[in-house]
Amino acid sequence: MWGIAWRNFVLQFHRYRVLGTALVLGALVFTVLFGVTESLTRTVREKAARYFSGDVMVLGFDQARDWILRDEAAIESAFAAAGLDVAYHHRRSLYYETDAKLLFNGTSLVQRRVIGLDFSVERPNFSRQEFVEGGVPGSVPLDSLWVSADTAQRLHVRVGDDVVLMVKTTQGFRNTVSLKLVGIFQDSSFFGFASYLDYRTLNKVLGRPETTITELGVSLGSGADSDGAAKAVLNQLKARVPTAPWVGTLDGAYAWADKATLSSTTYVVLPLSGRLKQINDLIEAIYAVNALLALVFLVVVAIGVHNTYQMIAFERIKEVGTMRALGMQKGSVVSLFLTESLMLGFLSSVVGLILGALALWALGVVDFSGNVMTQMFLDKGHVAMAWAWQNVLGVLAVMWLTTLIGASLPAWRAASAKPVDALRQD
Amino acid sequence: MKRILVLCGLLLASGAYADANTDILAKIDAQVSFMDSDFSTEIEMKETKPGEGVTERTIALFRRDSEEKYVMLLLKPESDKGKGYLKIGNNLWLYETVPTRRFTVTSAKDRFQNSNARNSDFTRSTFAEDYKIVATAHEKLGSFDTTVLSLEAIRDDITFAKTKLWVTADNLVRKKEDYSLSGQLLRTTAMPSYQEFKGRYIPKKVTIVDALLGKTLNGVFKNEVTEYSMGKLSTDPLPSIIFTQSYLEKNSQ
Repeated sequence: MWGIAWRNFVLQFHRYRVLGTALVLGALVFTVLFGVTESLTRTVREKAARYFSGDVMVLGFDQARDWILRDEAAIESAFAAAGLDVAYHHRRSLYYETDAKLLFNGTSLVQRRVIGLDFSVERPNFSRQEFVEGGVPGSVPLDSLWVSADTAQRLHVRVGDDVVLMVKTTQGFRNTVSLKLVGIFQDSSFFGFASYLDYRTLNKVLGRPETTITELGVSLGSGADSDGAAKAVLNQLKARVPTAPWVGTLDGAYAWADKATLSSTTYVVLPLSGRLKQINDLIEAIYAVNALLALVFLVVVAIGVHNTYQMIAFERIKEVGTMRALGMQKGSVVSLFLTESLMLGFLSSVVGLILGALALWALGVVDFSGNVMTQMFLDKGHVAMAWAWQNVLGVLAVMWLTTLIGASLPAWRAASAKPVDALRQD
Repeated sequence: MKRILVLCGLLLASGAYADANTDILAKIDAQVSFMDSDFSTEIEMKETKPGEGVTERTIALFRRDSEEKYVMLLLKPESDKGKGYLKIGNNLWLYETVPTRRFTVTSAKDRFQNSNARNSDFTRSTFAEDYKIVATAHEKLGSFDTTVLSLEAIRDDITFAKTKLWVTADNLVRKKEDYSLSGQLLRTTAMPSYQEFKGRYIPKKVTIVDALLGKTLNGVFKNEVTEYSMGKLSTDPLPSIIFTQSYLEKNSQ
């Protein structure tokens, strides 16, 4: 069957040219659509993982609500025992009040989040920031500060300037520390409203013990399931320290903590998706739009394939009549047509995939960094090249399915024609 | 025996020192507080932000120091008319009229209407309750001979962790510097002259200079400055209804 189908496909190739071109175009569009979606969501997740403490993180709740993780060794051991594909580790102390201010030369700017990093752990991940000025020095001085380009522009600061950070101590007093700006990173999106410094410096200005940690987390390898990983960590942590049940989101954690009676620090394991509802909504919206576009495109392609196949089947009706007269069964004729359509779908998909990959590469060369709205989704101003094997299989499957669906009815109709009638056709 | 006597002597001396310290601060507080009557005044405030212009405000202040209460009503500018603050004990509410009429809980540590004054600047003076003296010195401040008292907070709910007072022999504060916990100067307040009123003293003019906020204009750094003076002073009894949320609501209508 495959041999006859291939021979027919080659002999009838001139009839398939228009349909083939349309299918190549379809595969190209799907490739670009899936590739861009994958790129945007992967980039935004990577940024979110850097901004929060990775794809899976552990927070501590107690009555004092001081967020201090008091059983660090147990948490580390739970992460290790969960068998995760860990790309980066996160160890940090955070200040997440609305009154954190940076002051320079008479100007002040509120920061949404002040993040104290343990550079002995966080350096590899933090160094991936897109620095527009400065960077991460080999040995990080305790008074180092990193701000976003947007913050730097508003405060009129440059690397080397002394900036004052004002926060409220755990006792409620305003406190200040003078910091030296060593790096400015490019991110004017949601993730740019944060400044970074050494966790010991932040702890000191907050009046916390110097080595306090409030968040431990890990960033996972590409494509890993953060929900599954968080559940695996929770299962391991349960055996070691008091833990909250699975809550899934930060809001869920607060709701649980409000009701619970906490006699000691109790730990909550959260996936990245549980930290930022807006980002999840955004990603889901992108997927929904993508799915809608794909569906519309699929319908259009399927109708096109159907119409074109009807024409091809009509033009080859004598050939069908001959095959049927020679004793070929109706099912075999249908199979022959469908096998030809599968070959067409496969070849078109492969060509479309290659052209789509080239188009994605070309898209990645374009610099979109001028647009503030798209900043969150871009890697250093560019659409990152993201090409998951699921996408390749997806494009192949979609194109095969479309050609199969489009070809089924015409093939069935052609096969159903009586050999005598078929041979009589001009 | 000798050692015990020396120890007792030291303990007594330190106790006496602490009492003396508290005594000085209590005297400073007593000079400007109205514990035996109500107090009301109208404050004219001028806030200068270099490069951004001047904002002028008129505020009516009603205080009942004996019950730790105050009400402030914004009378000018017209856009802020109807706004107000109500302090009862440790609770402080801000009543806003725009975009909706509502009360929000605020803190005595917060800025008053984004000026360099803090909400706590308008309460009675409570140095003796809030601070301990950690150092004293003598300094000439212009024409004044002053004792400089370095204070550290003994409570968590006060605005500044560290403060320095320049006090003249009549127990009036002529200058005040407020610091962050780490010792960063945050603002300087000058009260060079006072007016005597019903046995108490009211600063004629208060000038608050923000140490961190300002702008460089023509190569010179200009600090943000807030100045205010108090007029229409009165110790007449105030109706208790003034110190309620409903009064603020009614007043704004």
